[in-house]
Amino acid sequence: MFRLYWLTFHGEFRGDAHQKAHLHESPVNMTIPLMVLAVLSAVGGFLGMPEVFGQPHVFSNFLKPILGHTHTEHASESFEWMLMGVSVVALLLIIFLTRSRYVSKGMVPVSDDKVQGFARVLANKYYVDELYAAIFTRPLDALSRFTYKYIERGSIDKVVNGFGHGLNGLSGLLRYIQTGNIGSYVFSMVIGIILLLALTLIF
Amino acid sequence: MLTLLLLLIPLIAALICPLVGNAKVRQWAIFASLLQLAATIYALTLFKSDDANQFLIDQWWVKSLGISFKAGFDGISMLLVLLTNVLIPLILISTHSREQSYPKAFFGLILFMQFALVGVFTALDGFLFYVFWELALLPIYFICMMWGGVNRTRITLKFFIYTLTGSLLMLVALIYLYLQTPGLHTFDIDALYNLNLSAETQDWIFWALFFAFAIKIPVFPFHTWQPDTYTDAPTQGTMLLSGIMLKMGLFGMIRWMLPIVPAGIAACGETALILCVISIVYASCLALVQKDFKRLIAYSSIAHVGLIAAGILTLNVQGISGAMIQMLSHGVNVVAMFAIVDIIQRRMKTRELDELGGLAHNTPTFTILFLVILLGSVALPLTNGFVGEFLLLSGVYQFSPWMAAFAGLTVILGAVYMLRAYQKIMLGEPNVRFAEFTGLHLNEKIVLVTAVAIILFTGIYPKPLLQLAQPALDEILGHVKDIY
Repeated sequence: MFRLYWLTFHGEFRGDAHQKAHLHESPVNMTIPLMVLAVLSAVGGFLGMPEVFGQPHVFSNFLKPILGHTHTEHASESFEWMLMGVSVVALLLIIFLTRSRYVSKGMVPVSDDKVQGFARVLANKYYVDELYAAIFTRPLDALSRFTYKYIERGSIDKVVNGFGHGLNGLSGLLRYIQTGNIGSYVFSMVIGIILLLALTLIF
Repeated sequence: MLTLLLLLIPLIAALICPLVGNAKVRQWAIFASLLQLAATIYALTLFKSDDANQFLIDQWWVKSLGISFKAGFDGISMLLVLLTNVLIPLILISTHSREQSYPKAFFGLILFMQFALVGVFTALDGFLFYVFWELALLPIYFICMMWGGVNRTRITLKFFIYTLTGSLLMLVALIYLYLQTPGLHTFDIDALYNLNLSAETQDWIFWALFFAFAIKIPVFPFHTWQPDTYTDAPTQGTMLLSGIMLKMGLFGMIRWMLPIVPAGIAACGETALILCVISIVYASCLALVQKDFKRLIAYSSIAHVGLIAAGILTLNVQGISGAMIQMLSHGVNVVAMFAIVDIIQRRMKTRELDELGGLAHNTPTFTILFLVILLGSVALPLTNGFVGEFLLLSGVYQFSPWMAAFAGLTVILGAVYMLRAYQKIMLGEPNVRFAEFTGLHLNEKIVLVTAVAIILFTGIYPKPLLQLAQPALDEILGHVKDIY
């Protein structure tokens, strides 16, 4: 967070002259809510002070009628002091280090497409989006396309339309029985006679 | 008496259409459909959920054959007739009178179709049901043939013959059932409900009836007529087909299959349910790779009604009440979606997703209306689609958790293809041809705003609709439990 803070607000101005001319304070309807939120952020921590300060825990007392008496583990006093001390010291250290890196030495982070190593994984959000696309999105699209092409159009449509085509084909054959052409009637008679003679020969 | 009125208003209006001039016939049709809607709302106020067969007409038609003209309302019929009479005015309003060729025939056919549809939903005699079922097929055949796209002859003929084949099997089953009725045979529904059929008989009758309804709904693998027919038909034809006509198949399952062959469903229903669930995922997967937006919605329609059919076959109260409510939701949503397709196609002259893009930049109203209707289709909570899908999935879960998990994929895949289509059409770089996308006309606004209002209202407060059908559903389920 302090990296963000120092880079954005402190150090040298990294934009061009045109942007510098247009820099201005945000309008009132943005700053008032920010002010309110800032005050609440500052005060909010006092709603739940650690045991060692001896003040009542305002927040859990407020919820007590609903939650009832919950059993809380009490850590030892020295543990609490140590925890507070370590986190405050770590924070001060980070403020100092980031300030020296980004303000005093004026270091600018590399743009996202040029990062190397593990930072690259972080810049690409652990590649979760790409993983999701590979596991769910692309297979689903491929399955749908396959289903549309081979099952919907290729199988079911062919079966249903097949009834129609089959009937057309059958009627195409059957129409030869009644052409009105004497020649073809005589021809069929001849075929019939040959078949009858053949059958009487066999049986 | 009211039933007769609701049947006669569209019929007489349709017959008057040729006498009205070309310029006025659209107004006449809209007026007649609104009159029908008013009559329906009046019937709704008089309707009591608990009584079966209200506003009954019961006259002998062909006494020697035991065929009577018996039509009446119960909760399920009331809901579906309400759906029909709410959607037809919207469908008529979505037409553009200046560009309509042969308007007298077109509007007359739509009104005639309304007559046939109301007849299907109210018929209480097997033969009458079959007559109205086939009657509904005629106007849609002409609508698709005369005003359809390039391949309309081949596609409409395929649709017609395919559906007729299924209906033929249904007729065979109905005649067989008729012959089983004791004494003087009759087609009366109460007589058919009280038949005691052996297990083997129930099996083959179940398959005959299921085959007919499966082609109509459609269910995999009998669905191949649907994408072509929906894509090639004129917008109003597609709206009629997807909004109301396919509900005929689902209604037939609830009214004419469940109480007559419950043992058959218990024995063979699982296979049929598996087909329905396969249909859901199959159609959703295919919708992912469609390039034509209208065809995409056609495939999404198969997916949605597959779930409804699966819900009906579960034979539990959540499944069937979910089916009822989803029939209404799907009807409204799909009609609205096809209206949107029509709006886009009229202006941009294309429905290809790759050619469209960036339309959101100067069409704020249309963008928002499109999004709400799309979210209704995707079954977002607070929309009507969610109520139905939730009940259906819970019904299927009671039948089998694995099937519910598989069917639940429709929620995910539905969101994927719908949102992807929305992104490709509306979002992205501003379209270079944006000037061609003129503002919404009044009639288009009426259709879309009404649809959005229904989507949100029914999504937030579906109780009246559920309560309307509950006693009728309980009675049908009682029938089912009695026999098996």
